[in-house]
Amino acid sequence: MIAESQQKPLNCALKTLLVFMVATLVSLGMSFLGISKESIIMVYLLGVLFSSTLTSSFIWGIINSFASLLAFNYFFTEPRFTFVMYHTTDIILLAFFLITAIVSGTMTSRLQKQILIAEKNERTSMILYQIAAGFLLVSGEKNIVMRSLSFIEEFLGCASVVKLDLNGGIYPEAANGYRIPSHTFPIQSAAGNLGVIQIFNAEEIMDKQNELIASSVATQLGIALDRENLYNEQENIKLAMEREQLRATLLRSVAHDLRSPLTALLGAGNLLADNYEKLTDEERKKLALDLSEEILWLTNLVENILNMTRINESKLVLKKNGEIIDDVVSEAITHVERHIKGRKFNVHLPEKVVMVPMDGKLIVQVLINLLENAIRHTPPDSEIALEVFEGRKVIKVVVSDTGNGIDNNIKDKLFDKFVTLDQGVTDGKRGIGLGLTICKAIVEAHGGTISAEANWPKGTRLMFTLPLEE
Amino acid sequence: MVDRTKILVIEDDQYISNFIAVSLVKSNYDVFVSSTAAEGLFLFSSHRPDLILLDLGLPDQDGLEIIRALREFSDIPILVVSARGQELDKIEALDLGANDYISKPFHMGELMARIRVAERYLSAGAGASQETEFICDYLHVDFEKRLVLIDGQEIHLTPLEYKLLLLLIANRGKVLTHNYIVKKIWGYENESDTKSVRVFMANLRRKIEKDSAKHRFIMTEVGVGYRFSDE
Repeated sequence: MIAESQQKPLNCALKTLLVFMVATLVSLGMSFLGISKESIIMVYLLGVLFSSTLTSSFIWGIINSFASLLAFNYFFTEPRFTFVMYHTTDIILLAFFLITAIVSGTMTSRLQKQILIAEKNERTSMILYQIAAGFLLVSGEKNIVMRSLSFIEEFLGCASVVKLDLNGGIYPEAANGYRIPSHTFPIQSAAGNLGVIQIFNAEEIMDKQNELIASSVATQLGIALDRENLYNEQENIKLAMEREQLRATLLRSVAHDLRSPLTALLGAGNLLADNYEKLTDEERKKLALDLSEEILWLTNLVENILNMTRINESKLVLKKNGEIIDDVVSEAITHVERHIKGRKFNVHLPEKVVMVPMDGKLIVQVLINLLENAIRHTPPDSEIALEVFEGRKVIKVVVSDTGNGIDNNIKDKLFDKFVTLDQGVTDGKRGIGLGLTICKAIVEAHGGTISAEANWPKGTRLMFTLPLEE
Repeated sequence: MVDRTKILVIEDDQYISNFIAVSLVKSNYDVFVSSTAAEGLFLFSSHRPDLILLDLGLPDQDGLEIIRALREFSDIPILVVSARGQELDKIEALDLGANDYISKPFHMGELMARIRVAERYLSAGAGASQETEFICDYLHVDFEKRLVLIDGQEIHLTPLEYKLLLLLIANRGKVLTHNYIVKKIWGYENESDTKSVRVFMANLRRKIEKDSAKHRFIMTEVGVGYRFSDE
């Protein structure tokens, strides 16, 4: 990992000297005990191996070899305590000692180096594996990049900066004050070059191993970012498909809902056009009135559809403003006035003047839909009531009627998209259709709730709440 | 013989302009119809109408531009016809000088009511109204004595509420935007004060309206403003 520091020469000299002295002392001791010099020379050989190992350098081993040779000559060859040798066997002994010492010293040193290299390789392999595995569970561009930066920090000990081409992103964000990088690695992926990873102050530590680590981080970063992009694309496609489906269903439902009123309109209109003279005044008036009413209903449908299109990515786009609930109720009532004529209609507003944050136009639409429903799906003699109550954190609006109540079949699915009274029959009764679904979407987008329950003694209660705080 | 009021209709949809023209003629107005802004301005200068019905969605020019252009040399009452839900357009049209607006789809009844209101301001002219009192249905306001009576019983209004009521009565039949009300009552335009307008209006309503279900006098146009109805 870190470049090897050569041990200081002084350190080595001391170590070698120590070993040499120990070897000499041991040898002298052995000689005193009467052990022959052939065995003693082995001690010096051991000394050479030790000094090679301890100093991690064969040079000191060689130095020790020569020193040992001289020492052996001086202390143990005849004549003793001189540098002269009488016997040829001694010369040969020393010669072979020297050769053996130098060779084995050198080999030991080599072996030691090999072990170090092998250990380094193993460490590097571990790191590379950690890098590869480290990106597996991370998601989100920021997290992935930060992970790569922390790897560089951890394994190389250097600061780094990632610059992405696609969105101009720079991580870490406040990286503009940095100097010129010492090394730059491209972030490559299947989709081409995604950017660069810049490393600072790495001149000294960037050897082959670390280069490998750095470029491995860059590669894994590229792969992880690629994966992230693909995932995002997939999500977007899914959303787009869902939206398309929703739109298709909406269109189908609307077209379906239009058939009945259009039939009525066509009929009445045609009748008036073709048989004008044959009809009585009363009949003509009735037809014209019917036409107007049907068209009014259609107009409301159009408003609902328009509101539906404001649902973007399953969220309604709201513009909240403070509105007085009185105003909103007033406008809604104006819209259904004609329709509600002749019925008993009660309105109850809270004692105080209450201002509620809401998108006024949309809530007006909710009220219109609820009232229209009550009118349309109850017999003409049923009463309708609109009540507003102020709570501590919400206001509660209740539209109730004394009609025939909700059909059991659709009770649970009232607010589901495009529920119709007769699901199976294709040209069945006029749908409850869009109205309540819109109400639900609008109310929930405001952070409120909507629900339906039976009224006492008979009929239906539809209520929704709106939060009073922003 | 009284001159018939001349109305210029600038509307590009022929079905709409047809039924408007027929209804207006039946109600004893003189009607001129044009389907483009250019044609409309030409008819304006050649026939000198008393009132203009202007559709905001014309093909050749933005309705708001036309209002701006007309207002440079004429005070002629302009009634704007717009699609429902285009609040910002309506407010801008009113701020630019349009007198009132009506949203599609509308009943002829509504349109006729608006036209009658506009006519009233025509004949009233620039002179300030010299009315001493206003009586309508169960509401009686005596301007000199500063009294407001509901069914003969005096009710108490705060000074601001009284001012509001006067403003509404003075402009009865016409729509007043929140901003306009703030300007007239408080004397300056301020975003947050439009909320105060709503609160004051709600309080006023509670005092002078008998039926909370069916408002008799003060009509709300959510997102735009208020209208005092004396029909």
